[in-house]
Amino acid sequence: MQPYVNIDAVVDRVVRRHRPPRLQNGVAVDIERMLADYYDIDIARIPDLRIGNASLQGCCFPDRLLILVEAHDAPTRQRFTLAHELGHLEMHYRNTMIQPLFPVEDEAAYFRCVTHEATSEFESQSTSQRRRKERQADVFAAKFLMPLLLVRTAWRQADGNLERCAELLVVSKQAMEYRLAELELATTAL
Amino acid sequence: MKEFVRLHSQDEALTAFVNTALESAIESSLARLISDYLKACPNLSNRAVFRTLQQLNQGTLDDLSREGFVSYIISHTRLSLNDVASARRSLRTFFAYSNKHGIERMAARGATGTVAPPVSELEAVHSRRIS
Repeated sequence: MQPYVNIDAVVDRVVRRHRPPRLQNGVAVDIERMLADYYDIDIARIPDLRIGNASLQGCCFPDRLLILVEAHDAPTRQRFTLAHELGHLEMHYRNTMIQPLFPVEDEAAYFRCVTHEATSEFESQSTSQRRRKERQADVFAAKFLMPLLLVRTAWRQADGNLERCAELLVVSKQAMEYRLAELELATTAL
Repeated sequence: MKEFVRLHSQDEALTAFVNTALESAIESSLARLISDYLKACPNLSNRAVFRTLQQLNQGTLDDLSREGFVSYIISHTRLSLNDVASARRSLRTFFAYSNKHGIERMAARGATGTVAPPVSELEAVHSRRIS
């Protein structure tokens, strides 16, 4: 059984520990600098990132302190990918000396699943666990790049304009929209 | 400076000159690693940083983690602390690949299946890095 992960608590712990640096606009989190300065992660941008036959947005090698990112992705997407990998590092790879990354299996690499696998009634337990961790990492990324207080500030500065708010936080419009809806800010007078 | 030769005690300037010439003629471990790295990753956008480190012709990869050596680099070049730190991380990755250290664990985003990639494949992927 997979242990419960309190993602809010993990985000809070990371923020308290590192006080994430900001980009030049003074608002958005500088995820790249944070990974470099505090985690000593090497970020390698690779065009047309493929491993095996799989196209990837990014992948993480915790033992090597290495993250590969698809170079052709938009900067906002690359940032989300980096935050997603940070989520893996914090939630799934901590204390790697004493615990396995995933339940012990023969396979050495773990990829995010496609939609048809998600709906398959024959879905394996390992696939389910893997997808759950991917989902957790996505939630971590959203919360880390768009924490409540920061979103409130950006939303106010942007005068309630979704695109402007997304620009301030250097995230995609879609991600911003999801987060605003989640925080119920878009319909709330600040 | 290493002392490769010792000339007559009255020829100190000449001794220093000869030793400097000999030292610069020998490629340092770090310079050699950078040379290999630049050959392996021809599309790097920050080649100038590595060229500068290479031209310094000093030290080893481990030395890049030593404050004294980093200070030396910064004081002798126009490189910043971030430049040096970034170069160290990149060279560390390359060193691991070039020594065929096995990939232990990996998680990926946006893929369609599960694969255990061989080191040679990852080395090939890494060689296409642009930054």
